[in-house]
Amino acid sequence: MAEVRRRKEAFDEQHCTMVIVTFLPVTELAAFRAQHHLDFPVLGDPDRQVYRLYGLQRGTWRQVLHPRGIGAYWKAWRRGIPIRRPHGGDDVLQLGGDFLIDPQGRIRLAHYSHDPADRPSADQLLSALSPSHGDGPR
Amino acid sequence: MGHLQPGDWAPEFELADQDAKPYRLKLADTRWRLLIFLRHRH
Repeated sequence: MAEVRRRKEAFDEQHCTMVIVTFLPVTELAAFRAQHHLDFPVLGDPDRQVYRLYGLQRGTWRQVLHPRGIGAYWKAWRRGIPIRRPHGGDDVLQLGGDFLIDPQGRIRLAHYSHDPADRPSADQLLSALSPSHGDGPR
Repeated sequence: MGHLQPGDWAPEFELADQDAKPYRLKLADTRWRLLIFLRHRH
């Protein structure tokens, strides 16, 4: 999320709106948005109905404790990013995902995370948006 | 529900945003949309 946030202008240039979906309660969304300096919508899906609608499932402990995920947490900790304990209501086994939707409403990229660190890079996402990739924005 | 694939229609939905206002994802829009589903609150 941090890398994509830093590249927001590049997504804006490609006429792409970013939207964060969390399973935080609605009452906590504004604080979360401010804490992470986000200037795009943050949505609350505490019942995870939309997670299920998009096929996002809970993983296994083996996935969550994947060395790549542990490594990502280690790097974040080295950069001074605090690692929080799971909060009440958190589900550490829930996996995330990223979906790029074109203006007609078709999925152009669907990425289902296999472990906590498994996310497409901003470059991968921007590449899927570029005019040379299919019939992206012009 | 199984995994969505490129070319599938994106499921429409409505959720509350940070201002407790409804945000509706509609199929037709003037812009691309990047949905980032977090795995927990990070």
